Amino acid sequence: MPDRLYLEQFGNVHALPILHYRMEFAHLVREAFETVKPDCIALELPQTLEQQFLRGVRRLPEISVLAYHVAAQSVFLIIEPADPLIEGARLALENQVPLHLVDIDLDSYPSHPEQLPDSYSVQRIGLEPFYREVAKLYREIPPGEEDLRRERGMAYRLRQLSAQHERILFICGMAHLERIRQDFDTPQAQPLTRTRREGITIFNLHPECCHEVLAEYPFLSALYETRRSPLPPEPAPGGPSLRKSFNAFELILGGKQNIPEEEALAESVQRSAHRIGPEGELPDRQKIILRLFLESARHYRQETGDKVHFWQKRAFFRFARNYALLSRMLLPDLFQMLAAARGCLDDNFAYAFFRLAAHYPWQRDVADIPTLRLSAAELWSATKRIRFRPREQVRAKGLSRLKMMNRKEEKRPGDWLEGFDDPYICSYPPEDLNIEEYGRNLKRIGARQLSEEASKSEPFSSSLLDGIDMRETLRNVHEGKIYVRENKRLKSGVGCVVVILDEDKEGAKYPYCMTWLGEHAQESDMAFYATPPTDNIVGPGISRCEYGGFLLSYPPRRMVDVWHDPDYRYALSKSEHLLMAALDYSLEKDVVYAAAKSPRSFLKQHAARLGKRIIYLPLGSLSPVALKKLRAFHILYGRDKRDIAKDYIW
Amino acid sequence: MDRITLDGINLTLANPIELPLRWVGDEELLRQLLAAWMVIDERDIPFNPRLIGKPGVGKTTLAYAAAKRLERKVYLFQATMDTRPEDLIVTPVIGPEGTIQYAASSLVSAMISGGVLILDEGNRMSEKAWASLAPLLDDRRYVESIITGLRIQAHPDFRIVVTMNEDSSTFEVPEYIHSRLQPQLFIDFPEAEEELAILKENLPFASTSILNYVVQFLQRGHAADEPYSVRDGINIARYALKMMTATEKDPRELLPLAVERILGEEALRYLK
Repeated sequence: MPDRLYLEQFGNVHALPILHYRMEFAHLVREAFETVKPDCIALELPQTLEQQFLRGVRRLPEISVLAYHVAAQSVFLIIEPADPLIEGARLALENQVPLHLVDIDLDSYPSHPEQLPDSYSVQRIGLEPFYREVAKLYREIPPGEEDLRRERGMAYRLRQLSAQHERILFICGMAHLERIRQDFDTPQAQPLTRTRREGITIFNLHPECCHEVLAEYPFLSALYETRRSPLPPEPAPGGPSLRKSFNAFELILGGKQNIPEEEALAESVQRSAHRIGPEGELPDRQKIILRLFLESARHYRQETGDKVHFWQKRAFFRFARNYALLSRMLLPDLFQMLAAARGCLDDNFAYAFFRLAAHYPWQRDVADIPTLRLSAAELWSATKRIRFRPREQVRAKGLSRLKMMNRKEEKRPGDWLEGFDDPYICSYPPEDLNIEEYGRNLKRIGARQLSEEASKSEPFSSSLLDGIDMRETLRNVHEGKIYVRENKRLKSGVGCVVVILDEDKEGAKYPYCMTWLGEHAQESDMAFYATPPTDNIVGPGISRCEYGGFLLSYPPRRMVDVWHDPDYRYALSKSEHLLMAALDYSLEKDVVYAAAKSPRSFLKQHAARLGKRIIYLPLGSLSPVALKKLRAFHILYGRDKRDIAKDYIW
Repeated sequence: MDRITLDGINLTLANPIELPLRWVGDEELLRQLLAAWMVIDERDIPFNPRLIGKPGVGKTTLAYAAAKRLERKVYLFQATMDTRPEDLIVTPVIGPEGTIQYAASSLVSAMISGGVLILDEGNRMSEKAWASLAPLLDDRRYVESIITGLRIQAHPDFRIVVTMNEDSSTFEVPEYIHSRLQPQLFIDFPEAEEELAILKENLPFASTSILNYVVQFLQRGHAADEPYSVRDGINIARYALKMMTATEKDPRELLPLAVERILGEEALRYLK
């Protein structure tokens, strides 16, 4: 018998104590089935739901919602794969073992807001000690009348079944099992209960609601589902990317490819299913979170060009752990992970994380049965609730409040490519303003740096200059002199600004080299190298590029195509090309050069020959958040796109 | 004022603050801040979180409430553009007999006493001032005072939180500080229900109908992405109530006047 499994045995009943809607227990049902090899499976569900419930189970892996009304209330039962009762029913159907729903149907049942331990502990300590502790907890809670009725009813049905079968696998919530076991030993009267229920309807759950109403988030459910069957081969690296790109010739010829976002996400699911443990083993929830993080980091890099740093990864897992521990759980839930993703990385990463976490490959918005949209608020409001499943009410709360989830998506694959018919391209004005402001800021920083380098302190003689230098005075207090400081002002101004975000030594990452003239007197001329606009489509006629480096030159309308200017043939890289152009076009003596590495001495000499000076600002001394905001820019195909661009640009 | 001697140098410590602030907003945010400060082992170190949001959304209140939840002393340091490294650590002052005395900043006082420091408007400080905090914000957890030559180690219970406004000057901190100020907790404008609760907390003497009216005004402003905060709402309601006492007019009649005086004429379009 596997270490983690534990079964309570009474008569010929092998009872598996479970927590509802938890993936670990769904897996234990599979282990219990293998171990007991039952000739009958009994579930803690009422028989009145059987017909529609089994219809929902047969639809799996597509998720269904079973719904009916009790007085003014709607009752919902979600049929999702990572639930132990659903798994029990599936195994019975697949192996043609008789299935019995042994609970009784009540119109009202009180909700139990008890705090149960994290099901992940079963992974580490096994089911037996876990169950002993939970059973102890339940012994201290007096059962309600409805609980006692249900338990007596189930004990009665189990006694009946035990007379007809040899080995019964009974799957039952931990709250009830101990008393059912006691009731089983004493003869029970047949319970008075409803035998029929009208108006039970089964719906297909809309894929956009999965993340809100599933107890286990969709990515985890998808991994569980994938590992139920023999694993498909692991996808080869370099599969479909989430970066929406198109081939320019295809566009001209009118051939528009489908953009395989779903495929890229499904590949992530398949790859993760392979890497969370050997086939057939209980999937480790902690490893699932790690895979979700790593795959999201990959998508994030594809889409934004930003890398997830090691310190960000460490901060994410530490913060998420602390957040979970404060909620008395061992591992974070989806909301907590999203909060950590946003807090320790950024909104774009949180979006990538959410999109993958909410992905369940099999769910479609059109099915052979009606589709239902359901929100967490509807499930947990005063009038609507899920009945059979005691679970924490806070789990999914707040997800919809994360505004980044409102990012626009294509209505159908290829929809956005239709916006590229206009041959004229233009920029997005708010980004122009942003980059101009940043250029002015760098000029100020450069001027301040020069001023500080030129400032000096000296003992007070006749003038206080710019004030007493307290630090220098104290440092030389033994001299008994007062030191004063003189702040030198920079005599010349700063002309051009060059920012090199990535040197691109290979020369392949940023092939798109452009020279743009300012549209009006307030805008600088600009030369830059960037990722190709055909590589990342984010809206109809809207491309997203990332700068490798750029040059700003003011006043505008002076710059000729710097990339084909033979004067700069001595440049060894694109960054040097830009710096040489900056030195050439600068009307002032100083040129600001912000980059990870300072320029070669050859360029400093070249500047001196031109009577110019390079102020070098290390990239690390600038704000990474400001640079990140600046790094991505958008190219709009046609001026009409300026009106709609704000809805697509993130 | 407390005094302490470190390596033979006498330091005067700043006093903690007591403010009449109570957090009535989103409880999850409070939990996130506490999670950032939490340590699970004596070898573990806490995060140095930053709270980001528009002015008036309650960043300082949240930080203060979280510190009080931990039952620690709270110290506040208001950062400005001309905050120098020595202002953040130890400042020399002239004593009664012309001698030099050393005053520990609220930051150092919090470090020594194991309190919580709220570094308010941290984005206003220059890089030079931030550089002096770099060793405090990583595993080293100390600061060095150039003036006294002291190395001051933070008490294990010391916690720091930095608040930053989400305006054009926000985030202008260099990369090595950015990576030390994690996680970033974003405080958005509250939902209508929370906003009403905050107004009630601050103006318990105002009638609910007036507060509802102010909340509706604020919510319209939020929807239009205007920077009107709950602090503005409190000021509007308070002004209208004061005018009511003076003029004996109905406060709802006075609200347009209050909105105009507090936020300007352009805000009147969000009143209905």
